[in-house]
Amino acid sequence: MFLRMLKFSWRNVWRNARRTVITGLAVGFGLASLLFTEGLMQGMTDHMVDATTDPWMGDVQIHREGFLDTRQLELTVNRPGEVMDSLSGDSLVQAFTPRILSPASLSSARELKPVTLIGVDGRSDPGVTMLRAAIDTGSYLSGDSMEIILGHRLAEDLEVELGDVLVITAAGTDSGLASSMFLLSGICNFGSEQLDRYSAFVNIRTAGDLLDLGDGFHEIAMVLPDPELARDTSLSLWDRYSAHGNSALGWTDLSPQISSMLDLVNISMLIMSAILFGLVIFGIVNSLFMSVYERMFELGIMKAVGTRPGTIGAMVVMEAFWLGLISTVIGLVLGILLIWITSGTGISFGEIEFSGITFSRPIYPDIDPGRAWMYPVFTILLVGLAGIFPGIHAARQNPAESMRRSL
Amino acid sequence: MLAKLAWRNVFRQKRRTVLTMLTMTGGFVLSSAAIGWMEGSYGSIIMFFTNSRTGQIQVHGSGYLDDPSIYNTVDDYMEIGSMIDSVPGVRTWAPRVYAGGLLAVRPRGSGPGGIFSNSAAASITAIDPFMEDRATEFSSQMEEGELPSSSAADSSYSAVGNIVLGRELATVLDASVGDSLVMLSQAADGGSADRKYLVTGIYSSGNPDLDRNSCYITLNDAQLLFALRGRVHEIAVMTDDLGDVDRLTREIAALLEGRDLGVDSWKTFAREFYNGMKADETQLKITIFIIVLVAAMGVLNTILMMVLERRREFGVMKALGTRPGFIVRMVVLEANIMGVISIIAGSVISTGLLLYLSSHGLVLDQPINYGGTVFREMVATVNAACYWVPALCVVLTASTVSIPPALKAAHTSAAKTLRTV
Amino acid sequence: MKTFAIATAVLLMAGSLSASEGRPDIDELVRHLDQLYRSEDSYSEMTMEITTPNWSRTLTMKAWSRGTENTFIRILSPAREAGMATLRIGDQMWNYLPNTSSTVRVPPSMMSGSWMGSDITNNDIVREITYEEDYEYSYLPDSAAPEGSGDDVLYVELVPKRSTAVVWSSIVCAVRAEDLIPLWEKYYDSDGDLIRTIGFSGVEEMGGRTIPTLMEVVPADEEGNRTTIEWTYAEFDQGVDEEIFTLRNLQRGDTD
Repeated sequence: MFLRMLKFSWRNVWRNARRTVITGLAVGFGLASLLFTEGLMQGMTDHMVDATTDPWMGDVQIHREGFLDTRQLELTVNRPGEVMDSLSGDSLVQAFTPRILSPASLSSARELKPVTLIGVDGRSDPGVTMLRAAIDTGSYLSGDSMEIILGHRLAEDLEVELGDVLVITAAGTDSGLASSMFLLSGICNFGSEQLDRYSAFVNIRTAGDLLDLGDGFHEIAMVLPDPELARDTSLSLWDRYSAHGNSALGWTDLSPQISSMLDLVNISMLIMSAILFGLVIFGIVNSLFMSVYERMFELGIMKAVGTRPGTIGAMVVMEAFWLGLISTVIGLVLGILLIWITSGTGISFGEIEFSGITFSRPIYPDIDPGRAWMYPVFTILLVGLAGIFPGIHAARQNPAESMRRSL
Repeated sequence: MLAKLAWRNVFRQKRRTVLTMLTMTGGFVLSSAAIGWMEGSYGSIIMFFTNSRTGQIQVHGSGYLDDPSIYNTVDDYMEIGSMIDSVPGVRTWAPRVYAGGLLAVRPRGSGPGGIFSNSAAASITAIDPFMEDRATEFSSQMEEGELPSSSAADSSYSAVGNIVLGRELATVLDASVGDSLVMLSQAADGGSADRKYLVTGIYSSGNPDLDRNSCYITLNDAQLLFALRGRVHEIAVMTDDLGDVDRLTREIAALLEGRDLGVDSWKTFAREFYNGMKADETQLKITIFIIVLVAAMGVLNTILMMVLERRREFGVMKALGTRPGFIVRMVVLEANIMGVISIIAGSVISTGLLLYLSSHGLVLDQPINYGGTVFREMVATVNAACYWVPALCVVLTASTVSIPPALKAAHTSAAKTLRTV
Repeated sequence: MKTFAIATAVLLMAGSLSASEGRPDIDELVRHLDQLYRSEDSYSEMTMEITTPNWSRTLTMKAWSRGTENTFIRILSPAREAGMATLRIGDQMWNYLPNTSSTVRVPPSMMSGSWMGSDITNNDIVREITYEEDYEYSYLPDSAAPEGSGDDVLYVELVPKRSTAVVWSSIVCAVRAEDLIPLWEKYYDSDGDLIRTIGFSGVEEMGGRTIPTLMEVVPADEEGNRTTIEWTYAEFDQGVDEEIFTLRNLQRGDTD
């Protein structure tokens, strides 16, 4: 019996093929849009996270406990050799690079500016940061002790060009002031005030010698296969690298403002998705109601012929399910297709300047099945449930009345 | 005749009309809410950010933003301030003096004769505590202790002043509330500027890089110490209406013309933040576009169905001699009537919804800390775009979508259409 | 008679020949420059006039030094700064502030900056770098000598060695031939542009030496910036009490 009703309701749905197709398409389009928007939103969030972590920060950083608060020179990463070895063998860590950080005075022939001296390891850095790509003029670090790269604003403030002499003066761990001479070898443009105006990049070995740090360094920045992993507090990574007086922090902690901003955006997007979902449901329910009310005549006949009210009601509900299912399938196909196509080529919004490097990389929509399954399932369910109302109405109709057809 | 017929048709088939209009109204309200929400949430973020420290508009000496120098000041700041007050839309303003100097604290355990050997370079901001609090609610950023308040230092060069330190700066100096501190710097007349201070509070802006280098003292104290009588480096101007900022910037600039001053909005002096916001905005705008599109599809669906269901009716009309053109016009008119009614109803509903949302907002279950201010709720705004965008969408869709099927129906032979169940 | 005349003429010619190519040994000249104000220890009283586009001030002060490691400066005037003192031992520096009766340690990060707002940096004051050890030097060829120079002025070019950390690429020094007293020093960057000029004048006998008592530092690019130091009294190698280079002395605050 049940099976027969299923087949019957299915045929009913297709009897008015045009209406079913139109509704299916319209609702399917709505669902596809929903899925696409989710994908787009995910892609844009990924994009913003990349814009935060790619240029310089990395996904996770390791420091000695207390370093980030006080920036004291002596607080170098504990057991550096061990940590680096551990990182090399860690399958979760895609790349990592050590850095030395120290306040210093940078003088040119004409000006004196306070900067953060950053010792960079030229071999491992390109795999982690965009410093090499950000160099406008000149060249990247090759290991020469006199090489120095400045942000373009800093170079302007100091009135220097490639090849000009610069002197870095800094206080070493022995609390003695040390000076070292450099020749400007590269000018970079990150689009970030902090990096372009207050940072000077030299070879890590040179910085270590100047500051009398030996092999010590202050920070290790690393890249994970997916920046989102940095939000996963269950990873063994945190414990492993937060040992022995060190502390490992993800970008969400290192840049709480960006993280907050992303949360805010997520909430906005959630609301938008809810609205979209509402529209989709609205559309399909409306279609459903219309179809039932239009068929009052034939439903009246069915009743007059002896079909039980309950059966009529059930049939209507089943038709609702079918309609929901068809629409969902169309929507899924369209949506996935759309995402699949655009995720290959990406959508370019032109130049987006966000918190740093002008990002002209396109956005790649990306769908998270873990979240996206809700939409189709809920659509079918809600629509099916919505079918109850017209179903009840149909079941209760007086056959004579409904057969008095009107134009 | 056409109009009367169309009107009566609309109200004849109540159920059908109601369902169609429901979709249109629903689409309108949801699009409207989406737009209002987007504007509102961005407005919230921007207002929170600019209200926490920078203000929406700033006045400096000309060229100060590119080259901040202690010598580049806004003179007669009280006079300028009252001129700014006179511009409608300005909520309040706050003056600031900026300087750089050395702060030094005695290490713990050393007696009164000890050397102030914990020293660090710091950026010093001098504020009028009352005006600053009124402008930025600075007191809410205080973690411990109180805002720097007036002291003898306001009028005496050798008196002890009150100072508030950033959380990380207090850590670097190993200082706490109640400690003594010495400041050494250079005044604007080249002379030495040095004074002893009492740490009266510690604050946190949420940005450790900022807090590691900054401290606050009172304006009068700084003007005396740095030989800057009547002068300040910055006047931050606050307004409640974010959309008004561009106009206010222009008006204030015109008012202060000829005084060698620069007037800038947050879009200029907080450029990185502005760019970040713009990137987000693009993202949301696209989503709004999609929402409006989907709403349009919904309208399309219902209108289409409505027209297609009535083919028999059109067949009858044709059989009675009605010309196809008449039928088409009638259908389009019906669609438009429903559209307009839906828009009106939708406007009423969405106004109610948005007004509620803009005053109550959505309470977040996990407050978000951004730039030191804590977001507890997100609000929506009501503005023109909330109305005309959805309205346009509904009307345009309704009228255009109804045409093709009406045309088709109007031109099919009457006999054919009548032969349906 | 004729032989004698010719012999004399030859001798005279020989003499004048040696005199014209007889510029002093350059090592000696450079050493003299290094030692000009330097000594085992010294005590001096001086006036410093600082001019900037925004203000001008004149400070009077007393200064003690021992070797290159220890310096003590006490400011006598103007009134607001009177009693302020700076003690420098090696890489550490403290300031005494009479207004607050406190002694403040200057962190290393602030030591590269200018001293009291002048055009002289703290590093200038210490002067650990010597021309003799840290520079390559030679006489300027006559063709490169500036105009208006007579035979009584010698021009030396000093180029910092690779290991010497300074921002200029060369210094040209004009020195009086007769007593090797400098007239001026010009500092140039790697493009050959003038960075600053230090002028020396007011040559007098002081503390057993002949020194220029007036030194004027003028940065080339900054309009209206100048610092002038005038020595009103100087004593060299007379023995300076070690007590002076102590924090105790710093905190005494009196202007003896």
